[in-house]
Amino acid sequence: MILYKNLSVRAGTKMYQLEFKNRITIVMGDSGNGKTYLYKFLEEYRGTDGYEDIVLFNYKSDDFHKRLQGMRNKFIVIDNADIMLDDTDKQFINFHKENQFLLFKRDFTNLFINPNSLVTLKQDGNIIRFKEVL
Amino acid sequence: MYYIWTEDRNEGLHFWNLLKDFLACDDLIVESKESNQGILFALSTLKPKKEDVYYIAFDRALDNIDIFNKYIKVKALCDKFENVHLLNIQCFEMLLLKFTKLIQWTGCNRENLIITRAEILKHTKGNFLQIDDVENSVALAYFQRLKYPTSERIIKSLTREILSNDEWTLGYKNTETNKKELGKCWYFSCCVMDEKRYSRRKCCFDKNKKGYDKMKELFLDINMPEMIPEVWKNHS
Repeated sequence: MILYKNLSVRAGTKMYQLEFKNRITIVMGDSGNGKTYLYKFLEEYRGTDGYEDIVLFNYKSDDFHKRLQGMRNKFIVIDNADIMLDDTDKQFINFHKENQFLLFKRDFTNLFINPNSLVTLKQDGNIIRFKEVL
Repeated sequence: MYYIWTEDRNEGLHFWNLLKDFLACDDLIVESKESNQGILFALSTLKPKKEDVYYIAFDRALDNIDIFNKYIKVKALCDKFENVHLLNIQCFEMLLLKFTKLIQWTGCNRENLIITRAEILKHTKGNFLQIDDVENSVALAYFQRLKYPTSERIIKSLTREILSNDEWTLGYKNTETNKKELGKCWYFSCCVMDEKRYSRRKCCFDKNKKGYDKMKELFLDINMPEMIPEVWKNHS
C-alpha cells in the first residue's frame, strides 16, 4: 500500500518534493548526494501532523530487526539499508504490503522492485526530486 | 548478416536456434556468449558492419544489482549503434510463460500454477513483471516457497513447473550434444511419445499437429515478428 504518494520536506533553503510511485522506493547514488541529509530532515518531521506514520531506522537504531517485524501500516525509512537488512528483513519488506518503504541502499538484490522503484536525488534550483534510474 | 547473441547456453540457446531453423535463415547466426558478462564483453569490442543487424537477448533481472549494473552498460553499448538492438525481454522463460496457449498445450492442471501465472501476466508491463503489484494470496504463497524469491527466479521456476508434462520440459538432455534443450513437444510433429505414454498424455493435441505449425503459432503469439522485424520480414 502506498501511504504517502507525495512528501514535501523543507531542508534549510532547499525543498525535497518527493513523489512515490511504488510501495518500495530505493534511493541509490553515491555518498554525498543528499540521502542522509534527507533522512535527517525526515527525522524532524516524524510524528508531526500529516507525518504520523513515518518511522525511521538507521545504524544507531536499537532492536532494529525485531521492531521492523512489528511494523504495520507505516511509512518506513531505512538509512544504510545495505548493512541493516538481512534476508528475513527483505522477506518482511517484500510480503508485508501494508507498509511503504523508502530505503537508502545501493544493492537491491532479493527485493521486489518495479522498474520505477529505483531513484536518485536530483536537484533543480532549490528543489530536490526523485529521478528514476531506468 | 543477422546475429542473435544470447547469454544462455542450454534451453535458451536452443530456443533461439529453433527460431533460426523455423525461419530457415542461412544469414542468421545464433551465438551464445555463455554469460551476461560474455555479452557485455562482446558488445564492448563490437564494431558492427553497416549491413549487419544484431539482436541482443540479455536477461534483465531488476532485483539483482549485479545484473542491473551490467544491463545499464549493455544498454549504453547497444545505444551506440543503430543496427544493434537490445531485445525487450526479461528472459526467454518469460516468453514461454506469456504464450497464451501454454496451459492448453501443456495440459498443466495444477491450480496454484495456473493462478500464479495469471497473476504474473496481469502484472506484467511490456515484458517485465511488476512483482510488487502482485497481491493474490496463491501467487504470494508460491513466491514464498522459493528461498530467495526474485522476479527472475519466480518466472523460471514457474515456467519449469508448468512445462513438466509430457515432453514439454525445459532441461531435456540431448545425448548427442550433451546440452539441455526444450522438450520435443515444442518442435517435433506429434506425437513424440510411445503409445503407452501417448494414451496418458496431458496435452491438447492428437497425432496430427505438425512441429512447424506449433513453432509458427508460438513465435507469432509471443510477437517475434516485432522483436526481430528485419529477419522476420526477409525470411518468413
